[in-house]
Amino acid sequence: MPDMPRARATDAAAESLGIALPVGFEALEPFRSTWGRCRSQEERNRLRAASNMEQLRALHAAGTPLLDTVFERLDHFPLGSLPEAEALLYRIVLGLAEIAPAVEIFGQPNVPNSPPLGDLKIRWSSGVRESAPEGPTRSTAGAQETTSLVKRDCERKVEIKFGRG
Amino acid sequence: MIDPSAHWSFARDLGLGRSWAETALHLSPETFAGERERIFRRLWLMVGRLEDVSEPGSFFVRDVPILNAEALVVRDRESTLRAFYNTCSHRGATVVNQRCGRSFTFRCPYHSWLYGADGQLRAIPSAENFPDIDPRQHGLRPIHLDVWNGFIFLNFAPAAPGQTLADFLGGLGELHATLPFDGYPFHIKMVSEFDANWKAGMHTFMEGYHITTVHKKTLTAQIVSRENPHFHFYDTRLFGPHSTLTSERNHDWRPTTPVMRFAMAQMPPAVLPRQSDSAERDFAAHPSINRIGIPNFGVETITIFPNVCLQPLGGGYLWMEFWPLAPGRTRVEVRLHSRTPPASARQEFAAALGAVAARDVLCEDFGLSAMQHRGFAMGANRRQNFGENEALLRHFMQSVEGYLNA
Repeated sequence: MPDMPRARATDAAAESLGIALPVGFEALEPFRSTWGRCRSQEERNRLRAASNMEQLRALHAAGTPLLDTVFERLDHFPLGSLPEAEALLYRIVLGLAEIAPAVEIFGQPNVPNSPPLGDLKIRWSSGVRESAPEGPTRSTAGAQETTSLVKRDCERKVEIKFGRG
Repeated sequence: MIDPSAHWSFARDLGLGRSWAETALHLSPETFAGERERIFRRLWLMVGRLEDVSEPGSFFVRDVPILNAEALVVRDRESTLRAFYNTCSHRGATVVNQRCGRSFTFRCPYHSWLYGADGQLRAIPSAENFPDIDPRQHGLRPIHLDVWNGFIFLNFAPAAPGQTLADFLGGLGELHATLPFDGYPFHIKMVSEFDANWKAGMHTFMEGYHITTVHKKTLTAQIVSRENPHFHFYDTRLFGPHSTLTSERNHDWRPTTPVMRFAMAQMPPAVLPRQSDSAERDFAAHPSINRIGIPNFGVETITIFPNVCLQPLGGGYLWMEFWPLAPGRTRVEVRLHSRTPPASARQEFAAALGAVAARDVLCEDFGLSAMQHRGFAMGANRRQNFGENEALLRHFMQSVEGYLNA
């Protein structure tokens, strides 16, 4: 999943607000405008760091009992091309992967004795051969958006600005 | 039945008598400058995998901040792998300004000077205005490149490198020459920075003594056994500045909390740690790792001087790199490699949780590195002290000093 430029955050929020979750997953409704908006592991990481334990425990309590049924539903679609409603559901549930250590291990949002987690960039790369027409340097900016974390193109240009220093 | 404890590696067994290093090695600008010139500008540095540039025209750009260098690594039309400084011979602008991609030509964004993937200067707009420029002499400036077992190394020595890559890696390169890293092309890459010296990052993987303290809630139950409560390493072998060692894990460990348990149940068997008797062609079955045959093999830790740690495990490998930015600031890059990308949303969920868990463990490490650096910076003590169970710290710091004083 590519970095989401700041200007698009608003669009994504509006988009999430207009989509209904699939029937049976109403318990996840409260997380539509938070975890449902996160488009990358980095965003989920930042949201975890900015949340308190009450918020993280609420997602954990609502999402954990639904894990089996969520993935039974998502199994019906090819990875990377989920319909809008299922993509929203998946984004919320991916929040559980981010907060599981906070709730189940640490008992606090951030890793003890560690700087806030927002400093970290994560890229998923397929390592699979790509084919491309011969020609001048291509921009990957127009690469097709996928609902999978795995990118079939190589990393796009990222202005990497980390940390607090 | 072997007695694993007979293979624990202690400093006394490895002839590493000196039990301390100066804290100044982590702090001093003079040391940092020495490391720049005598280590990072002279030695072979691991920067990528052949899979990253698998086809003609494939390229990536690699920063080496301590040298202010950006290297363009590219496979040319004849499939030859090459590396160049990413700077235009006209007026210096960086030519390629994306992290990776595929192209046979590179156009400077300043005045459109055009280079081929072989580094040759192909075209100068309004060429008649440059009568003194011989295009054959003004290609992209090359950087020494060589490959070991699919890993791409660069050497930034201004003249010929003092050693070939094969000589530099020596016995370590021979020992692990056929480890099947090429079977695990899928990876999740994480990049971050922390407030400590780059050597402290490397130290993280050089002693098991910190595991039950720093990773009390995370790794300890997974890897620390009753028979080896301080997580001594096994069968440490030194090869020049490089090393390899074996450690274990608890194969019967299972997560006890609900989301962790769900995620582990979704993982395909191929990505899970395996016992050494696995029939798969993989790391656990390869003769160059777990040479002593401990029954609960977990991971082989291969340290490639100066700044790389490779950890082959049952279903893939971890690859850590530490790039110095300043005496007290380091960029860390971590790649988690496995055989195939996730095939379903549930597998992807499990991989995402695996990446989060790995990231949180690394945060535990680098958080401690930053606290240690603050401690060193107080200047209260001139030395840090190493135990018999911290043999590799002794070896690594002596190697650094050896290069600094060469």
